[in-house]
Amino acid sequence: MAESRTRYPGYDVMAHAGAWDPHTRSIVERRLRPPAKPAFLTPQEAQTLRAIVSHLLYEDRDDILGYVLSHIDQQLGSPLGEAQRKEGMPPRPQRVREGLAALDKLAVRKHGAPFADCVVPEQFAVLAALQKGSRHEKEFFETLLALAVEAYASHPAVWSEMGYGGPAYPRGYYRIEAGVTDPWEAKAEVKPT
Amino acid sequence: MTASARHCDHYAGQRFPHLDRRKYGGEVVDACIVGAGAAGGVLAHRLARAGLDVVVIEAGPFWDPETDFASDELSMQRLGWQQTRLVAGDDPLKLGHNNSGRGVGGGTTHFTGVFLRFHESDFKTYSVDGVGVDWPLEYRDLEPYYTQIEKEVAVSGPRYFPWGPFRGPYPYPERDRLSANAWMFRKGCEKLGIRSVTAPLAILSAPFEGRPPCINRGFCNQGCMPNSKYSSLIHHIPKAIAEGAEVLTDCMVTQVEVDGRGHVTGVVFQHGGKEYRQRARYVFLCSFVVETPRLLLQCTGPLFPDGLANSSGMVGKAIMPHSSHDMYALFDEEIRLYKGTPVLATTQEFYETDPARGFARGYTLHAHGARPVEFAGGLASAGIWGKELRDALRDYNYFGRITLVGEVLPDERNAVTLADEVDEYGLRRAKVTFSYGENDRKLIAHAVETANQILEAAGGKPRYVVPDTAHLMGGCRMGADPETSVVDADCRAHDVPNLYICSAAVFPTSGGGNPTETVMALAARTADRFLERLQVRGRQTLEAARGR
Repeated sequence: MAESRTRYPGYDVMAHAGAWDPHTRSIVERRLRPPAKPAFLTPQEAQTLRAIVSHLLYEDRDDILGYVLSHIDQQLGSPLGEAQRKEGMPPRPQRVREGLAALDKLAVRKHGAPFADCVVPEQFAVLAALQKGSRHEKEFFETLLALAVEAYASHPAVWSEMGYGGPAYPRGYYRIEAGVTDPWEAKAEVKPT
Repeated sequence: MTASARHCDHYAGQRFPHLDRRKYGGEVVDACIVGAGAAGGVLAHRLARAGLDVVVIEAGPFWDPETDFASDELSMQRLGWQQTRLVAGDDPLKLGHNNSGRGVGGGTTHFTGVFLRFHESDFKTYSVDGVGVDWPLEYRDLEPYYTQIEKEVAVSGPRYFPWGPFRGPYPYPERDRLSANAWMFRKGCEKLGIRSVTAPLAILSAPFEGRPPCINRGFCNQGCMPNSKYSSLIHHIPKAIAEGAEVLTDCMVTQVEVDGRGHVTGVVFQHGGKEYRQRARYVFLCSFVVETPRLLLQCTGPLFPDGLANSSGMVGKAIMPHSSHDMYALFDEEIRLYKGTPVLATTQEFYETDPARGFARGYTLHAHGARPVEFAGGLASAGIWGKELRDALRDYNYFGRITLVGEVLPDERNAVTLADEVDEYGLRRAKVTFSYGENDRKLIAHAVETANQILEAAGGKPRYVVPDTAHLMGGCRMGADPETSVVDADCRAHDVPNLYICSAAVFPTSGGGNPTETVMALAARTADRFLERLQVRGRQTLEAARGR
């Protein structure tokens, strides 16, 4: 699987963290620590959510999923606003909680077991149905996807696989033109087919 | 971090977590400005420089770029206005970081720095194209202020700009290294006979006032750390403070106070759960497109039952985003969208109405970089997940991107209204309703097609179109007629002689390019017009006192 995940197998963006400003470095390094226990999600909700997120992100690595889950948990417990909420929808924490309960009901109805106990193809089928489902189902799906993806794309292991050069202050990027790279950037080893 | 790296600490002795040292606590100041963004900064600087007592009240924090900003998308989402708004309509808007700011600098802390003038036709779309409404002023009224502001912030740009009434040169030379994405864009344009330029930017190409040129870090949307990009946080607000203005931060204005004659007397605001008051002779609402109508609509009284300054019924109405779809194509060679200033190349070849296209008005296209969260989040918002998303992340470095800034016509049904739900300040939440009109959709379809042609001409295979919007304008439209507009051409409320509204909220139409320069030019003009009026009034008062 590693081969299909990256064109830069040898690249580790964290090898260059020493060149970043301390504030940025502390933010990014926190994502690599063992995740805190969920504060908002119940253990059962966390288990279901983990299964959902692994499919949304096509990802099976525990440490990365753990970070994604802890980000979602933190966001749901945060007093900060959600920037925008569609009229008629419950607030985000409630939306996710109710959505997870409804998801299990849907899984039981269609496949005879709660989501986490369904086999993978059944789980995919349930998620695909959500994405094209009722207004509330779609909103639940989109909420989770947005939260999962913003965390996933913030994880340094994923940055390395993308070949993303990472934070660049105070250093900056110098060779920005087509075909040239700064010495610390990822060099492609596997070209697209 | 060494002390020398803190090359731009304008705030020493100016940032307090408390309100124990208010300069004008019990006094009536000349001007109270609500909001320290693009408009508020320019106004505060100019009014303080003219010798007025000025207080700026800002809902968010007084950021320090060195310690509060980071090269990280996720943690810097907080530069946007994250407080919950309800959204409705056929095309509910994404708000927060997408189009608003919270904290000193407002949206300028995270804008891309693209600095474009509106064209002559933007001020008279009704006369020229029979759509939208005319502004009560023309390009030539703003022209000197565009020039002043460009000089003031040392805009970098091409020697020759091929579109609109201003053909350059810009005060500072254009940025001279093009990212692979900008180069791809220019190559594609060239093949199709579309003119393109290095984008005019409020980002330094050479040192200016102690600030260094851009280091191509790429995080314009997350807060500039080297202070190479203009923001009112590092430019106009510190200058206003140097001229004596006071800036109160983490202070949420909850009410505009009005006397029995219907004149404003000041504002009420909350800080740390406590209520405070700032009395003022003049109040300037520079609080953007959602919060300004929200505040005005909650202020009701016997003289103004439908909200302050709202006898026209237009407060909150005719809000406009720009359509801002992102077009991605896959290339055989690496593009690396993370490198360099996000927008380095642009075309306005499609800006003006072309009857052959079947819709009115036009758009700007930018070569636009993207970091991982924006890239992955954008694709997710377009419904892509699972293996397809994972494969796209693997190919991230091979994607190029073009972003649309498309004109959206005003429609009164697109509006900010008050929801029943109440927020932590006890204020009713804003409800923001938006649906595209037919003209908007035709324009988008044309722009998507054009962008894909450019991507293809440059050697790419168009892969994804991510629907999005950027910016917000309108909601307190300016106009000559008090029956159909909220403020006059000087941004003075028709109904309230000592209330000004100055921000993108007063735009009658959206234009087809990034709005920040026009906001700032308008603020500079508003300051001039206000000061002229004050002088005339001062003379009259004096003459009256002398018994003439």
